[in-house]
Amino acid sequence: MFASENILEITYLIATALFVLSLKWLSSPVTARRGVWAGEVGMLLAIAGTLLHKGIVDYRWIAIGLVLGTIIGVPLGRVAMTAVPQRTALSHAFGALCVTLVGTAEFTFARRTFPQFMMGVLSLEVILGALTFTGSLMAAGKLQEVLPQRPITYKGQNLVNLGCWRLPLGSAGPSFCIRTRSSCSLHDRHSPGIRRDDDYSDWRRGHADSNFALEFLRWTFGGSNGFCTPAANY
Amino acid sequence: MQLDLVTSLYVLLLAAFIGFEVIRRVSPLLHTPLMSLTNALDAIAVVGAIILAGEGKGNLAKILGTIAIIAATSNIVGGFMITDRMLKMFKASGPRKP
Repeated sequence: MFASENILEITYLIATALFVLSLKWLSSPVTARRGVWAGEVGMLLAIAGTLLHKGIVDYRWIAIGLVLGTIIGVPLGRVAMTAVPQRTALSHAFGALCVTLVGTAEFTFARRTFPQFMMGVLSLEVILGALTFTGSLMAAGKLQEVLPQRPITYKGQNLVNLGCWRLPLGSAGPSFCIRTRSSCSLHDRHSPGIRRDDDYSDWRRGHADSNFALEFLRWTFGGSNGFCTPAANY
Repeated sequence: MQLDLVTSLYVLLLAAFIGFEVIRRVSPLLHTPLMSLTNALDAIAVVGAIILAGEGKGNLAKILGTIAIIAATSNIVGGFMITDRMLKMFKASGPRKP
């Protein structure tokens, strides 16, 4: 009758409808528990449909993951009500961890077959996921009062934070740029290349008298200057 | 299902509107259950992790995919459980405990 891909897609469609209904039903106390039920059924459908995907050859690791996840999840669902904020922060950290790992692995396997924009999007997914992971762990620690409640600062913190952005933006930024000959000479400051009046000329015109902001931007996004970035391979 | 970029942007746009509309009038009593339920729904990323761990592409995919499945499944199970517990405290006349 239907091909198995169609069944999978229709399953996803029903699961999507159930998720939207779940959120809608949660907006009023009368229908709220029905909303939780709809979310559970939708998630079960999505997982069951994915397990029947015909690209999957090895079910052992999936089964191990599902069982271990359930074992960890049950105590997390039984915390005291006063611990709900830190539980929510911890749960955000887990969700971000999942997204980061999936994005990292997809990036590794898709390097030669995905278009450049998709690789940039995957990079952003990994960046934001990792940021959310550590940030949520910090939030959970502070809520649980394991970490000090006051703001944790040190001298030069802002510069370190800004400097930390250099590697992620330098790797992901060039994926979103159109690589023309003029933009390549933008990154190479030792041979001036051909100076033409086009999109990037306002950056180059300020070369001799650039201020700190321009220099910082150039340093941040000049990813292919000294780093081996994935995007530089395209 | 292969989507090109513009169709995907349509889906994103419509989903953003739907999300905004269904959340707009949540009563403040239900804000915390809403947070934990949306957290549990976020674990739909387990679908990507299942495909990653199951396709047999190599050790990196298996290990990362399994850790991702563990993280997402604990979100699903724990999230739905805690949301249900919170909602059980609501009677028809209103909440007994925040």
